[in-house]
Amino acid sequence: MKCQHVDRYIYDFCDNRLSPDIHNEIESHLRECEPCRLKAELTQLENEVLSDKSTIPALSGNFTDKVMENLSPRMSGTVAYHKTIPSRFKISDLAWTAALMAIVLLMIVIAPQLIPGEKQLQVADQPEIIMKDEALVGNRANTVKIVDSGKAVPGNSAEKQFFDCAGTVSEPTDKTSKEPQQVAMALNYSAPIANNQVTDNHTESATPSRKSVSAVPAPISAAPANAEFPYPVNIPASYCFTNADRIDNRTAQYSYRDAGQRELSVIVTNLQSKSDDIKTAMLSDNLSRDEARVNPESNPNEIVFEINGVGYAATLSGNISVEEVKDLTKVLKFALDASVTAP
Amino acid sequence: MITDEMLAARILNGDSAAFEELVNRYKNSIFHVVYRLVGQYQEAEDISQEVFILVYEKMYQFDRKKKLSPWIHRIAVNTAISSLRKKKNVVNLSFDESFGKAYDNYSMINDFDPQLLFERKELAEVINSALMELPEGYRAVLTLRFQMDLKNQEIAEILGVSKENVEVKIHRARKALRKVLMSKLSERGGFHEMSAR
Repeated sequence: MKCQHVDRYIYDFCDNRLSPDIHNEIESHLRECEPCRLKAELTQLENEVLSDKSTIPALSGNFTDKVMENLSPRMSGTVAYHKTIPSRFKISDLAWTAALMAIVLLMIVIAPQLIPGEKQLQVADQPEIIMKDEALVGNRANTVKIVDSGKAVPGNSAEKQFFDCAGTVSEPTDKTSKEPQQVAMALNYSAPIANNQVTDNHTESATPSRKSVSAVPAPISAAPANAEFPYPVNIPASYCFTNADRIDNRTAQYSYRDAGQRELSVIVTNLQSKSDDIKTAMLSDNLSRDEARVNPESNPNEIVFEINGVGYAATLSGNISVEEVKDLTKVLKFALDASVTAP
Repeated sequence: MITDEMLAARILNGDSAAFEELVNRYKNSIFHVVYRLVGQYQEAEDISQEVFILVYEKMYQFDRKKKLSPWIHRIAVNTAISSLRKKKNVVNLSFDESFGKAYDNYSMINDFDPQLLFERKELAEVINSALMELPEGYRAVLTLRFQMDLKNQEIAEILGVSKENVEVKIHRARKALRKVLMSKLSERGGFHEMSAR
């Protein structure tokens, strides 16, 4: 082997990375060639110096403490989460997200109570949307029916008394106070609560006072003692009783409103004096009223019940969901009381 | 014993004790690499601290499917090289291939004096000195190979180059070291005197 070959393999030779044959050949050459042997020794010395860790001074004993001390201002909570890549979802992120969602939900629930007037005006400015919204149980037929009944028999709408959520009773004084209420009812809004809220301006009159949207449920028993007529006794406590309106001598309407300004209207009709579809179905099919009540052909918003042998039909409407109305029709119960005065 | 990757997970969850364990586990090897690159104790310690702070701050970037050690050492090498470049205000962004090629034709066979080997201690100091004059990239690859005893694959991961390229860089770094070493010996006079004989 020539010196050039040894020079070529000298590093691998010193690293013991050559095949035994080549390694032996180089060893033989080094025994005979002093310059190459010295070169190999120098290479070996370089390797030793490069690998010698003893020449590196020891790290100071408090190195770790220094690092931790320098990091302590940055070690608040988790590591650099302000830079965290979104794909790495962490438990703390979930907690923050849940807390944020809870705050948003709380705001959604509380906000309507804080600014009821604005919300009411906003809806009043868009009556068509409300009326055509299929998701809401506007029950256009029923709503129009209310207005029509009021217009058809002006003056017969024996609206005697209004109740606010606290059960306070007030009485309208003349017909002009009735008209804005009808407009409001047509738009699925509650009627004005007190006389001092009623003006000739329909928009303004459709706007309830803060008092009318109090979250305090009205006690149903607050209805005045007078002629007996069925009224719903187990309206959910989330609804405030707003008024009772005797449409005519066989029909009464009970209005409620919840904290979210949603309206619920229950119109109770005496079937003894009305040949409506349900009564016809009951009679022609020889169904009991309970059977008629669950008859899929019947109006799902209607409840047929009987008190003291007298049949009644209650129709639910309002800007609440279809599902909520259906749920109410399953549980709602009625009792006779002097809730509404006779016309 | 808890693995490096488990430590990383705990650190990401804000476990400061886990990070302290990580520092204790890697401080010596990191300091060795940095010291070999910068050659000054205090500066090496300062840079080593900076390395661990960077490790903490960038822990969220660590891919837990990979090994932690190459990742930390890569931060150490980059931080040390970056510090050196700032100090020198010289930009030497990568291994200077032309620098390595300059030594390819170098042959020392006839330029060597046997008496140098008798002064091993002094020679070791000269070798260390020559090492410090190499470009940072060469110093890094030699340090990782000889100080850290890392394999080519591990060095490749730290330096961000291919495994095959590591061997080429090591070879060129050694040639460069030999060139600088001989130049230093020549400056000390012995080399010329012995060459003349």
